Amino acid sequence: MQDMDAVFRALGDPARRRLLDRLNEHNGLTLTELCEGMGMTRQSVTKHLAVLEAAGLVATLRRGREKQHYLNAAPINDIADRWITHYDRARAAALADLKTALEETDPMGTDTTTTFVYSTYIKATPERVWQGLTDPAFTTRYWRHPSAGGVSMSSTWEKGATYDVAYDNGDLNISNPEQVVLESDPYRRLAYTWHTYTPEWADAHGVDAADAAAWAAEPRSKVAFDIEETGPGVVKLTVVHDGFAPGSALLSGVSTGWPAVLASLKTLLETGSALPSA
Amino acid sequence: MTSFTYTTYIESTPEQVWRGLTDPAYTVRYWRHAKAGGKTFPSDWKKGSTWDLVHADVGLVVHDPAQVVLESDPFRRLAYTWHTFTPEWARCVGLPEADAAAWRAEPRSRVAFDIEDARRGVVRLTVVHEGFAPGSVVLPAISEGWPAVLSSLKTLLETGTPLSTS
Repeated sequence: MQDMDAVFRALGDPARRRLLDRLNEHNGLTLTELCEGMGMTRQSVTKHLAVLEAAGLVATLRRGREKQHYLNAAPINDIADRWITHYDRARAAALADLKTALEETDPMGTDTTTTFVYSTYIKATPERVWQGLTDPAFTTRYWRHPSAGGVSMSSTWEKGATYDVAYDNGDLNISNPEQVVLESDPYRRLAYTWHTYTPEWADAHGVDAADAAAWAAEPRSKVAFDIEETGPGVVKLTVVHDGFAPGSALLSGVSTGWPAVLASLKTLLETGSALPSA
Repeated sequence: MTSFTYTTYIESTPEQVWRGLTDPAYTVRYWRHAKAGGKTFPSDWKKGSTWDLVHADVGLVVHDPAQVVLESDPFRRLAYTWHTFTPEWARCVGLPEADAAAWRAEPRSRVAFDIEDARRGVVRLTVVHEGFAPGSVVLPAISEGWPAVLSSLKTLLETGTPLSTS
């Protein structure tokens, strides 16, 4: 339940109400898009958005170049429930419908993607790329997280075998019989189910426990790596990470993570050093 | 799907990445076609200016006033409309004329490059190629092409040599 005073204060400004109207017409706008036609400085719009965010009326999601802003109708619906129900049941029903419609609307538009696919070409041998994907001596160098450190996966990498995940920093080790190697065709194709999002994982990565719990509740995804020689000394590595439910919150996170991890793997294999870390 | 998006991280500077995308001395080395050879894009890269597509190896120039620079914010953002699929171009790259006609019938797409500092010494390059109609046949082709071109740009900027073509 949002601070009702903060919500009323946020709604009490015409410019802020206009920003909410814009998002109601077209959700997911960036700051640049919101500034268009507002007749005020970018700085002013930023200040107004901060007030709206603090009141819980706007949520942001970083995707691509700029953050996208989304209308959260919950506080408005709460006002409706508290103030309008007493006065006008029909209007309350309409606002509840708006809330439901906004909650059901996919903030990404009509995106029903449940798969992340990415290809990169690397000057390396298939054996080296396979090693890069599986050998802790490699993975800890390029597959890194700012707080948790470098990733190591231990497994025999045979089809049907399980794998554990450990991180440099601390004693975190994630072991689960559902973390399984699905396919293993050395130097050509490797596939495994994705790791588990335990509370300890969330802690080590600075991820909100509630977010991690939501991710853990999603169906377990899987990733497949295809390694294909496309020319002399050049390999095409294709990563397909799928098995997500439509609207998956986790898919957005992994879609941002993979290009960074794979770019660093490529740099490591081609130059001998991974990309500079954060 | 009516667009293609690709993000990569390159150990370089925004100025170098911009140069990589626009300077003929760079593009000819990594932005290559198996049959038609390396590309250059003569243009002053100012907003509103046109740009040409040149494959010098095969004597091909694709010029069309509809090939326009939409946005130009040096070292940060560049956007332009895509080139025309002329019969000469189709011949040089080995695309059957019937296919080229189908490609020409589609609305002209556009590409935008965003160059951002990701962290010290690392640039994030995001490419969004959009403006395709549902069912576009051009989209799958460019979706296949971009990862190869951008991988080669990254290798060129990080090692001094582009990826060798197949």
